[in-house]
Amino acid sequence: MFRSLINAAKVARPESLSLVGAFRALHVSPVVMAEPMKKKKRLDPAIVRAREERKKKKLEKAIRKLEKHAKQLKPIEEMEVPYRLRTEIPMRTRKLPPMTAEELENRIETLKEWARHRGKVAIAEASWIEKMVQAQDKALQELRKESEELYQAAIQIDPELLPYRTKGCVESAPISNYEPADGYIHDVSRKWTS
Amino acid sequence: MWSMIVRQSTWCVRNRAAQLRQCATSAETSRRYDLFAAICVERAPLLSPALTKLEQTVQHCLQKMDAERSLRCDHEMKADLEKRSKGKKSEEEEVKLVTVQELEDSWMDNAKDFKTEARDGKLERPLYLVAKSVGRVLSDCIGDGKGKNWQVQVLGNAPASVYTFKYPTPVAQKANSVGGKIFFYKGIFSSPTGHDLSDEALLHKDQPRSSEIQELRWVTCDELKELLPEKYWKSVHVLIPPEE
Repeated sequence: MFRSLINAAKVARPESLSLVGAFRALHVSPVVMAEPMKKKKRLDPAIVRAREERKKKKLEKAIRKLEKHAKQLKPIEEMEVPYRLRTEIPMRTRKLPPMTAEELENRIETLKEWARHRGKVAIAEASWIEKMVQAQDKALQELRKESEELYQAAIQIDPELLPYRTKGCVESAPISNYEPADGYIHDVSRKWTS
Repeated sequence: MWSMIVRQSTWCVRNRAAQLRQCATSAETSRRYDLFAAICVERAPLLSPALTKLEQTVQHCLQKMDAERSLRCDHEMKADLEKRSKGKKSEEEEVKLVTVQELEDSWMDNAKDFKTEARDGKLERPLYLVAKSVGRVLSDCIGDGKGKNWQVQVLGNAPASVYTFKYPTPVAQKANSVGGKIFFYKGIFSSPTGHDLSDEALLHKDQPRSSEIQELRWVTCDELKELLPEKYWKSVHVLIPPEE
């Protein structure tokens, strides 16, 4: 500390003298009145270990608490039924006239017919897929008969095929000169972050 | 003669075929076939088709069941309240509130104003591209499959079906092959920007047509069946979904 002060003073030009760096090293200790230095007590290793153990346990407890928080499922706001509606259920149930046997018969008949129709459609689609696979196998066979080179090229995987994307059809044709309603979307959904 | 878009066998095939012919015996050369590739270009339907009678009945039935099992909503509760308190409220209050009936009437008026365009039968069905030509179609109609506003994506490298035919004897002798094999691929016609109803016309405009092709047409499945020869149709038929 004193050396740095002396070195600072030895600087040739007095205007560039800066003792700030040197003064940083100065510290003031409490007044000791010439008392000799006390010996540093060597802590009992057991106590030291105990202290570290306690710190570790505290941290682990905190981690467990956060994990528990993460396991909790985020609530789906659309699924939560407001309490008010739950109490109003008896008021809101419809009072309908009893269904006639005829009506019931018609309903069952309609639904059964629909099930039959969908079954046929499923079978037709499955059989079409099978036919397509068979046709493709035959085509590849014929190709192989003619040219092995082309066959090898044909069975290569097309990297552009997947992912295959297509947009579904809409219900009505686009209306000419249609001006859609304007507006902004302001998302107010709650974000659940731990 | 109508056919699917046909591209003559590629250069590498012809080359190889020539090589094979040179080293093969006379017996083998007689069984050589010319190879062709054809693409069944399909434009997917743009509008969902109208419901069939059965579908309509089922939809009506299910909607009724849903309505019966549901609870009354706030709108209905309000209507019920208004019905019960008819005449009980003072005139002032009646003027202020918008009754349920008024709301429903305004909704109905708005619904009437909303008009949808007339449906064209062709929009609801998938269409297929056919080319009419004199004799065999030898040129490329869709080029490399990309245009200004449209593209044809060929599904996969492997052909989907094959049609084999034999040349009549004089032709076979001249061409030095027994017949031809047409390998069909499935191609999907699409517009990446979003489908405009006149996109098919763009294909016709974009491609410089060779003199061989007289006409390009987009047809539905039934029309396709009528235009194509029977055995040819059988090979193409497998590429078309069964609802048609």
